[in-house]
Amino acid sequence: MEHVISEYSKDTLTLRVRGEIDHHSAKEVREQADRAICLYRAKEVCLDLSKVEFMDSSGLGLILGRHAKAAELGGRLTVLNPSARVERILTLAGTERLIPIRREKGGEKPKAAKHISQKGRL
Amino acid sequence: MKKRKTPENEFSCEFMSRSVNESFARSLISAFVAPLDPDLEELTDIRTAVSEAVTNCIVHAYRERSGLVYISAKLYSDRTVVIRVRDKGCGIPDVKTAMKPLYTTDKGGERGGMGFTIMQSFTDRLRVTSKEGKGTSVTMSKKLKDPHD
Repeated sequence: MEHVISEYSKDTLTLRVRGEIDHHSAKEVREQADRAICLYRAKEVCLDLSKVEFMDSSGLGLILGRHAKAAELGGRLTVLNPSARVERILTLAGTERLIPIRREKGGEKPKAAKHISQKGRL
Repeated sequence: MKKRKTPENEFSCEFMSRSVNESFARSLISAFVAPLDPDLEELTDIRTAVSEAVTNCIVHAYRERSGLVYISAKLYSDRTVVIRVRDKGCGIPDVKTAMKPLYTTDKGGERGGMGFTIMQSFTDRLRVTSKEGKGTSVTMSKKLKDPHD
């Protein structure tokens, strides 16, 4: 399954991750992301997390690992558009000291939590 | 953890320590608490905490071998959910150290060492008991808000 869509433009590699990141899926995401990082060797590597529906600490390890991988090849990792949930995990681990977070237009923080039944889910 | 009254609902389940079952465990707990109409944040807190506990069983407790992961949950009238995730794996020699943020035994891998910290932050109460060679038990409780408040 394709978890990562890569886009390369002007020395910037954008990796758009989608789906759920847990220990099970992290391996494939890691392989797909590393393939693109090694192929393009971009100065800027952006990890777009706007389409990530769930992430636990395995995702944290994945982000830190891609930061190390990009740095190894002379690049710099930025996290793009994380949900408030994902950002909470990043903050808990203090990754902002190492990895900047950027929000693109339209990538705003989600509104206050709603009850699931009101949204017609589950 | 103090003794509680009889639960209003409960379930227990066991599954193989395969990583594909991490999402199964999340679905299981989501379905169990759904009748309480938790808000999205509470639900994700619970799902994340369960995911961490189950991943610990698979990655650390059983490592390369296969074993069973036991999950059970109880629901009380005050909207408290108590979840227990247990394994019969290698056990943790020093629980206090293992629970420290960023502590990991997986030096070569990409584990961040934040599992217990996330469980602690996303639930109201966390208790970990472990015996080397016997296994580990993680009990988490969280009181859900009343959607009508």
